[in-house]
Amino acid sequence: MKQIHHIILFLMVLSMASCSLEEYNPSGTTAETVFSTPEGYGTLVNACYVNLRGELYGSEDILLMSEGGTDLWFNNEKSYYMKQVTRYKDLSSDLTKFNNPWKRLYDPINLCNAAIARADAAGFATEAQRDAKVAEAYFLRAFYYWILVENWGGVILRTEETSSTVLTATRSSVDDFYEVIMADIDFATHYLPATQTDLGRADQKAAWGLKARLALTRAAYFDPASAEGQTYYTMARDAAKHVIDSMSTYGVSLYADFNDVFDPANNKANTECLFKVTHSSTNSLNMDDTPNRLHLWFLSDYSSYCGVSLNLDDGNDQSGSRGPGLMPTLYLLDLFNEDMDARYYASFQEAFLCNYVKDPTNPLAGTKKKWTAAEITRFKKNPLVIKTTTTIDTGDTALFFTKKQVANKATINFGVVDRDDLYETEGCDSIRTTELNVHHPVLKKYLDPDRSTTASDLSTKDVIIMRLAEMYLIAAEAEYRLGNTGQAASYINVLRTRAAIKTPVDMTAAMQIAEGDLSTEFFLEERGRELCGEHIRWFDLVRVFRRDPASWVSWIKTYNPNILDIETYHMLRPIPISEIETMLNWEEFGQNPGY
Amino acid sequence: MPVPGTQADDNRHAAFHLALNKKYYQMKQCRKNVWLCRTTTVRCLRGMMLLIFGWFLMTGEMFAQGPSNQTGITVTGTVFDEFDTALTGVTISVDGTSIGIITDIEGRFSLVVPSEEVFVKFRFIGYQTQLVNVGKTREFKIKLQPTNMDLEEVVVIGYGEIKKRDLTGSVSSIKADEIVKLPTHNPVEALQGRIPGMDIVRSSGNAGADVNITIRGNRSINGENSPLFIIDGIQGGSYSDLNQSDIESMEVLKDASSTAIYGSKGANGVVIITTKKGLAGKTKVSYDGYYGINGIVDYPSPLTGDAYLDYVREGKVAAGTYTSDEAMFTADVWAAIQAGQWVDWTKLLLHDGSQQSHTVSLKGGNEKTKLYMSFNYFEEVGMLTNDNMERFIYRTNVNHGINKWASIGMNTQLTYSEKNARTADFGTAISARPLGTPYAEDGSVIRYPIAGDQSTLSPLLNETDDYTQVNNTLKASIVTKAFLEIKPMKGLTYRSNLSTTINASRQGKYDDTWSLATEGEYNEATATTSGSLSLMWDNILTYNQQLGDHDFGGTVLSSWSKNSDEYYTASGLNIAVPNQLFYNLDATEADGRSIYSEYTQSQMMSIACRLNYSYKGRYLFQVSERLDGSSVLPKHWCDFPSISGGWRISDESFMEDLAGTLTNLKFRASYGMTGNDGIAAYGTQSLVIADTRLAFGETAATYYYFGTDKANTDLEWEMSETIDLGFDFGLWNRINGTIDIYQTLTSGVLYERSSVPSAGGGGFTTWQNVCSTSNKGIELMISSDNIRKKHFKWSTTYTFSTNKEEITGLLEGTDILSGEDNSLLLGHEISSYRCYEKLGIWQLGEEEAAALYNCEPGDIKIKDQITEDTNGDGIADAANGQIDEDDYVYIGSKNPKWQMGLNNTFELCGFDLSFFFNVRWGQVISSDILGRYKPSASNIPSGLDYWTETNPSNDFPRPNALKELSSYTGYQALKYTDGSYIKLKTINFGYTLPKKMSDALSIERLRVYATGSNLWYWAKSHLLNNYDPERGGSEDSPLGRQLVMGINLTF
Repeated sequence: MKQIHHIILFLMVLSMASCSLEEYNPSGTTAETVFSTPEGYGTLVNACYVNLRGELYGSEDILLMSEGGTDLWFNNEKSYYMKQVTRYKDLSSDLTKFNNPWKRLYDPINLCNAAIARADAAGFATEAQRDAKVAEAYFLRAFYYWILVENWGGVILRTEETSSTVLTATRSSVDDFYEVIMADIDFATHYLPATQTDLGRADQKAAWGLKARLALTRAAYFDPASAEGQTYYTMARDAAKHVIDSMSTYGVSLYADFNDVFDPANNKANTECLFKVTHSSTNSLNMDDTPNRLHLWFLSDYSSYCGVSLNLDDGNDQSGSRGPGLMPTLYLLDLFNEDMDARYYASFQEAFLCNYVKDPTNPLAGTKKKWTAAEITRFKKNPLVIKTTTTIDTGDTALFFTKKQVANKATINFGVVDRDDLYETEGCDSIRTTELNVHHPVLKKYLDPDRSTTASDLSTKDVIIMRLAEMYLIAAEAEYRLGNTGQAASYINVLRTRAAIKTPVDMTAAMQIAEGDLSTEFFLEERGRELCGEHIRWFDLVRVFRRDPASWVSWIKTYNPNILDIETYHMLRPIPISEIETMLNWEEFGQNPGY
Repeated sequence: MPVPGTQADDNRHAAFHLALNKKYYQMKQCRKNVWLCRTTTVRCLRGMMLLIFGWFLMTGEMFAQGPSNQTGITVTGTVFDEFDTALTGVTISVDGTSIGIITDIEGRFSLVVPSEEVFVKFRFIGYQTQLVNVGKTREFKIKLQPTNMDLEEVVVIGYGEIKKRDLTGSVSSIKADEIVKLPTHNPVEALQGRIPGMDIVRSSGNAGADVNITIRGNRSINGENSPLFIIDGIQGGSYSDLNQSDIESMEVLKDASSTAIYGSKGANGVVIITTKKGLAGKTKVSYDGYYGINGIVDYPSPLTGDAYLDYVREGKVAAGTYTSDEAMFTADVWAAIQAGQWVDWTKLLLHDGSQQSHTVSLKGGNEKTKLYMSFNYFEEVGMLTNDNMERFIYRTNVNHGINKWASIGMNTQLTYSEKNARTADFGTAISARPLGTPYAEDGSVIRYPIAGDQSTLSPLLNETDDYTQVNNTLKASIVTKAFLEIKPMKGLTYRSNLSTTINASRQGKYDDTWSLATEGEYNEATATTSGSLSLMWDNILTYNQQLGDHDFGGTVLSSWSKNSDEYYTASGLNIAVPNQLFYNLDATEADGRSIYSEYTQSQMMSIACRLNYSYKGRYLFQVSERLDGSSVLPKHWCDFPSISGGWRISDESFMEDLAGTLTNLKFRASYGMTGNDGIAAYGTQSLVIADTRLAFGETAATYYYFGTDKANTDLEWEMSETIDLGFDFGLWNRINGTIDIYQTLTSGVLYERSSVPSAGGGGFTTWQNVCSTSNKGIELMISSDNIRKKHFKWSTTYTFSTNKEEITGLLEGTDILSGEDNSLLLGHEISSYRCYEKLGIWQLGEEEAAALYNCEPGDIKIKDQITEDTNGDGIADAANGQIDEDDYVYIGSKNPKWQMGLNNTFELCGFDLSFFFNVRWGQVISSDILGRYKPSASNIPSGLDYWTETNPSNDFPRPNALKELSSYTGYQALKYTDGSYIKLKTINFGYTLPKKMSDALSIERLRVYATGSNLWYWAKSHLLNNYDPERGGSEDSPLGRQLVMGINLTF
């Protein structure tokens, strides 16, 4: 029996003896382990880029924020999609709309902060190697903070990596923001390599280009005549000029023909590009499964009318993942003199060609597209001229959505929607409320005929964030503010010479401007013609009217009369609800004024 | 536990008691030291403690004494029940000896007694034991009177068992015959509404779906709120994989004095499930089986016909774009309307399913070896095409006595199941255009049901063929417990349980190119294998002794467990041959593959002890203490004490006058601490995560980013402190009742706190001990034998419970806001809803008032809450005149205010009939279907009464073809509604073959029955038409009705 007692004793002691309460986690790893070698550190710098391509340039939010709600665009169909951004409607009551962009900017900022703080511990062999790498993080932080401060004003400036719970925040002034931004971009221009082997990584030209943009933005906070104003305009001019002067060093150049700039064939190796996000054709290398959706957002409703069916060239207007997109305002269309400025037809598509193919399974179907009664009604055809027996030949124009007035709309043998159908040109130029307002000229800059199928939303085209032409515009505007109007005009004329229609009549001379033509309005117009749809208009308008919010409102109301609800306080976005709800010192922090 | 012995050896037990106390003291010491000296010292102390204990054991004397041979007088007789029916199986023994026998099938017995002086004892479960002096009688006619069965029942408690009469905690028990009354694949569903304070709802209507369980409300936020399940002593087993016929009993431990012995896992209550054991004697073979149908679901249809046209037209009229009906649609859609091709997609999705279960079990053995074996086959065919489950369960419970003082045994269950889950998008089905031709002539699904229109995909897409959408899960598990039991001396039992649970599963998924998930873009195959292994070793030492009127009991135990999980998944895109599914991932495109693997491990160790004392069985007293160490928390160790007492008032002499009326009255009181380690393994580590979805140009780049969790090294256990006061009463031996009043105060509730989004990481999360909560409630259970005649019986069981859950404190003293459904609001439940308060819809005539809020008739009318302080007295006294963030208020919780269960059973001449009603009252439902109201969608569910100029509805706003739902101020409030309901959960009708007939057929028992479940409900809110509110608001996998026919047969 004693043995039994021994056994019991043994078992009970044993059960207590062999236990550890340490956590064993072979599948997890920590920052200190990974980021302590140059290679590992490189993966942290890589992380700083991820949101730029996965969440920002290619998707809707940043597009609608940077182009919507301006003088150039309005909701297609006059819909209310993202009305808080595109129309400023209900913006004060619905603070959820900016949750995503806010988060998508602050996420990489934290990674940039980590990269900047951890550079010394990354074990680089030389300081030069370290600086060249960490400069990418500085560049990106300046860029992200620029977007933030121009949208939200003096909000939260974080420059340290988050290591524990953060439930409070303090406001920093716009000055504080720009102090960090300008210091960051200086570091970047100083240490970034002249060129990078990896496409889409920040390099010298990107840094100088961004510096020009940042300095121009910063200058607008001051009286142009003030010392600060002059300093920043000079800085902007110098930076832009540096890029223009170093074109051959940086391997960039202007295309001779504006049509080439957004030619899909030139997308991946665009000579004009200063900084872009690349979307890989290997989709598993893209953070988002449909990395570039910009091709969906300016489309007009064309398919299944008048023998035009869904096709690769005209885009997927039936996409389920697209809300009603953006259509141009009459102001935008009328910025162009399409008779001499090639940029109009290079930027906008008006005609859609019939691609009717006989249905082999339907012996009754003809070889040509016949008008249907519904189409005749829709496009207001004269039923005596256009009958259900009238045909449209494959390859001919079938739909024509134009900024022009078309005289013989009712009898012409294709569907026409002209400026009178689309816009109220009497009194105010607002978009008409009619079923035809889904048929409008289409911004071509992001169309992607190289998608795999007509119904595919998946475009892997790169998105240009900054291109060389902008340097001419910045240099010109800065020179103008510095009083060098002649120099300013000559920068503009470089672009206008390129934009001029050359055949059959060379319009180059007619396109030239004189220094007397220059004005604040002119720069906004020229930027509209050159850069419309390129994620910059919001920034341009708030910049130009930075010191005069009332004019900002009246400018937008005048040129985009569809926007009824804009107020001066909308110049700053509201702090999103996700931040408010979590922040403990919200009362003290406070919402941006007006909301 | 004070199970009274028949002999006593005072000295030895006094000494033992002393030692126990000593050990208890040592344990207390040990616990204190844990905090001081960390683990090494603790191990040392624990070792010492056990040495002392062991030394004591070795000095004990062996207890081994066999009964001597007997010769004497033979007596015979028959035993009857109160209706003069012969009782089989009555135990007859000579009092004070081990001589005994049981009555035969006619109630007869024959026994040899040593002398005429002895007393013969007649014992039968459910009847009062009778003691009869042999004297000169040789032929006995004994009539046994039924006892208050309830009290004599033995209930299983943590690491032991106890008679119900001696309980000091709040424990509810359900026995085998109750459990099989609701035929279901998930035995816990049988507890629904039968245990006061236990809230059980089915988690979905899918085949093989689980249940959601809480006991006495929620304490934890991100942590576990489900009770701990102990299956045959094994912690954390899968109750849904148990065959309900294998279950002997289920005990639900609710108060802290009962659950504190499970320490850090006891905070949410404990459910102990005990499986059947073998019996010595004749081998019994049973068959339990049923077959039934599943379906007849209530589910809203989409709008069709004129109702649909009205809806679309109203939207166009409101938008000012209406010209004609024809112009509202494209030509293709209009053609379908003209052709009258209306389709009710939800009807086409739902079919009637079936379920069947067959169990063959065997009970047998001899004095030394006892065996229970069973085999179960279960199959459920769900209500969606290719939603089904098949399961096999094999169980063997064996127990072998090696000698007088040692026995060993093993319980093993092997489970194998295969499940196919169908993804059906009910949301699409109720919002897609209700038009077109769903099936081609050959019965195949047409991808675009409306001819010529490629904007409407068929909601039936996943049913196109066998490969379109596959989600197939194979699971195998082996749960084994081996035990050794040693009784080295009288009253002392040592038991060592070693259990292993091995789970392996494989889930394969395939979505073909044209499935709901892929919509023509790609096809995707994923295969996931996962395995888990848990090991647990319990050592339990129990000692019971009676000294005169004093009953002592003590339990000391140690427990150690380790769990590890491995998870591997791989997926790929665009496999060339769809019927290879996920079986040939290397045939997928090289680009687009992804792999992932994960390993998780956690350990836990514990020591605990419990002491019981009772005086004359009248004054009951118990203390317990457990010390737990968990690897998951940075501060590993914590202790969980409890104390409880009971007073059997009805045993007092002053109650004798009432003895016939008040057959039982007991008062119980308990206090204890329980805990919750609440977070998953590694929940407190800051990690970085690798990803490869990045390229510069076409050059792939890896990146590491910060994982969501940021470590909190100050994290502590979530602790619950519970006081429970209870009364058990019995009246006229017919009515038994229990009332419990409790309060649980939980502090340090674990919460995964989000940082502000501006801190990065998408809002980093950190575990914090963020709040304290209180749960107060009353529970009542009454069971009554209303009529108890020989051929007619009527009994009623009534349960009622109410629980008030409240957040009493938050870390920073202010509400933690997180959207409509996840905010933590002081003074309200953890699962509160916070939203606008909907008053109705702005009506005609209210234009002026509506305009103040930028609204017009047909828009949603939201209450502008009083939030402004106009006179500066610090009290809000006015509304701010706009609908904004300030108007977000608490609008209710998903917890019911109270619940009730009512079961009536009638028995007449072998027939039995029972009805079970269930009420859940006062909860708010967040209904997906109500959220499907879209003013400009292709379609909406029927039954959503929207406003028009001629229909002044207050339910939903006016449709408008140009508006999104979010254009309506206050749209968030539309989906919330009162979720109270009454439900006829089951009707059971059965017939048991009379004994004479079954005897003639030489079977022991035969019962045939029919059961209907989920039969009828009534929801308080008119918005929940056509929707079973038990489903809780989800639009997917609705709950169906079941009609089942079954048979229980024992040979």
